[in-house]
Amino acid sequence: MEKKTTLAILGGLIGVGAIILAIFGNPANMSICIACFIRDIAGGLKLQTAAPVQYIRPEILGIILGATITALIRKDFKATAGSSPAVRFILGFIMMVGALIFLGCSFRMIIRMGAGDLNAWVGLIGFLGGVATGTFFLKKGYSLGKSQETKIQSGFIVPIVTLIILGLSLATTIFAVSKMGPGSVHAPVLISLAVGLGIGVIGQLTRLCSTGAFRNVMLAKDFNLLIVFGSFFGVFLIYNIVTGNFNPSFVGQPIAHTNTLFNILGLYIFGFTGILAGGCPFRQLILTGQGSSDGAMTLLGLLLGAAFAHNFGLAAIVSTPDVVGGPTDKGVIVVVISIIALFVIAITNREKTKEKK
Amino acid sequence: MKILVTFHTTFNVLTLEKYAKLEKIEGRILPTPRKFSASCGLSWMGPYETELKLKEIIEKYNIEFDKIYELE
Repeated sequence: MEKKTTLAILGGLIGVGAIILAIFGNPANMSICIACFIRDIAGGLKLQTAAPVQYIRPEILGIILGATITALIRKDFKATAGSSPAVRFILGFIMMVGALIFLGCSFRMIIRMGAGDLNAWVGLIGFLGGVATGTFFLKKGYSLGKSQETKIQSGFIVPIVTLIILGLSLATTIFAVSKMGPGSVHAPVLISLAVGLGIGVIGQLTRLCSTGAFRNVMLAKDFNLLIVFGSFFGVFLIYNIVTGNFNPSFVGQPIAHTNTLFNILGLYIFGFTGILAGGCPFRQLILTGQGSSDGAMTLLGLLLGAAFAHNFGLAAIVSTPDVVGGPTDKGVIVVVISIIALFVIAITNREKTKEKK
Repeated sequence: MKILVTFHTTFNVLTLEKYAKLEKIEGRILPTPRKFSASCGLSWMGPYETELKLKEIIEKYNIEFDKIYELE
């Protein structure tokens, strides 16, 4: 799985999956966004009550189940837990806040970049800065400790809950579904689920992780994961250019805001947290799918972070011709608190070498 | 032949790297090859001849590792 051409093909396939979702009706410049879709699921589960962003996104369920199936087939499924679970929960929470200040995770950053959204290119600076800060603390001894093998049942909890939510969303109307806004715009369920499953399989095979990709470059000068992302970006960029959807500008981009500072800070928080938590939201889904209860704790943090962000008005406001957009006053405060919290977590979780006397 | 040392945490592989460099032991950090792990962790790879020296460092600095593989 480490041959560069194989990685490039698999990254390209993720790009094709994103294109399929765009063609079949997912929101503009948001055909696949892990953070946004977890946020929509928080809405579908009525954990948050923002009417435009409520929908049980089958892509997320598919990614988890795709990872579980692949891990079981490859005998990679391993129930693990116990690596600072409460810290991971908070990191998941903060990671979602960062994503919702920027309006998207690293996947959506790539998609927005590939569509010419210059706000995302600016956000990339923050993302790289966040990853570099996290990597600096890794070098200074930051660690959440090792996870332990645990009962197999613990590893299967989230995949089973995922199956139950999938079944209920297909067979009943108990979950909230937006009637307007991004949550109401989506590809047919089976297509979303199939693409999600496919991306979950690729994620498990490649260990794809946006923050991990840059961490590997900074720590090991290894570019393999960047090849996957580069290929994903390239395929999406070509699609946008060919279809006339490449519009390089800051203003008028779908579901985006033009506040440069907070586009940078949002993704700075996201990148920093991704390193401290051992992976971006996509990686957390894959880890959870292959049995990690630590990943599940981060996922829970992401879910509740999304719920809080929308219930308490922390998420940024989309720029439109009538609205400037950008972070809310409460959002600005939470950005400051989040950055302070990340530094406190990074500094206080450092380990020291114990030389034998 | 080479040896591959895998770890449970990034802290431990970076600690090994630090002391291996100090002792001028050949080798480098790399993402753990996929066939050895589904995790996204980092490992240390070096010439087979360095195994004893590495084990001395691991022992001296109490570095917790997962496994040591010998690779063709």
